[in-house]
Amino acid sequence: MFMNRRSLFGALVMVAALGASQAALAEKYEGVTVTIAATADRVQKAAADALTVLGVEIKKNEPGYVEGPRSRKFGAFVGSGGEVLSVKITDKGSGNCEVTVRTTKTFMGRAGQKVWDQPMIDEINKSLAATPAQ
Amino acid sequence: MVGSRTAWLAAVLCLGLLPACSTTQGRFVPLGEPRPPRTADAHVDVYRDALPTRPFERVARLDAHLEKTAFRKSSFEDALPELMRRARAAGADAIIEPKEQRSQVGETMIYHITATGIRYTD
Repeated sequence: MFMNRRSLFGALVMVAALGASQAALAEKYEGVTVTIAATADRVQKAAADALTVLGVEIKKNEPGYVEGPRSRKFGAFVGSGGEVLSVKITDKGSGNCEVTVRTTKTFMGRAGQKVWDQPMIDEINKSLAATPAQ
Repeated sequence: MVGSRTAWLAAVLCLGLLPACSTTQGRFVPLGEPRPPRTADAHVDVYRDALPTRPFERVARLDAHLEKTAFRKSSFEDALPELMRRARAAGADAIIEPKEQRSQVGETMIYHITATGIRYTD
């Protein structure tokens, strides 16, 4: 019985450590940065389009930054949603922008969440291609 | 008796949770000068494959986004009410050029449709 309690305690400590290390990794994770040959205002619009296509309810849309959460759904198994997706846009001049996309997973429903960094970049590029520069 | 009561309870619980198992979102972005919205019951034409023969101008980009869990898929017809709602809000008479995208995250089936809202000019 005593051993069982010790094992249980050990397991709890391991789970807590794992959770803490994941949280620490999430804090250090800075997303993916790419350079896009388009002006900042075009990329800003494309970023809003991209987040919409990925099911984000945009909460912040200010010059140089777009952010919002994906809606949360309960499922038969794990459900999905709840991730916060963000796009940071820095004008580099000469018609180029540095774009940093980042997915922040949340504690609730983490098992059903995924990293949307590459889909965000793909959708930004798609939107830019669909709306040629004037 | 207890078994059937439990089954009923489970069924009621599942029905209660069903709305939380699916989400519908949408938005419109004016292409140029914003137009006044149309009434909630205004008729909206839908052109899935062809373009209208009447002259028109593009007034808005329309988006509808549906996600359903438990591997349930959405269709164009499921997205149409949201798309039409956004078209009316954008002041559009019709919807053209719908582009569908499907993806999946685990058990969640994702369906997104992007279209163009137009206004007849004749």
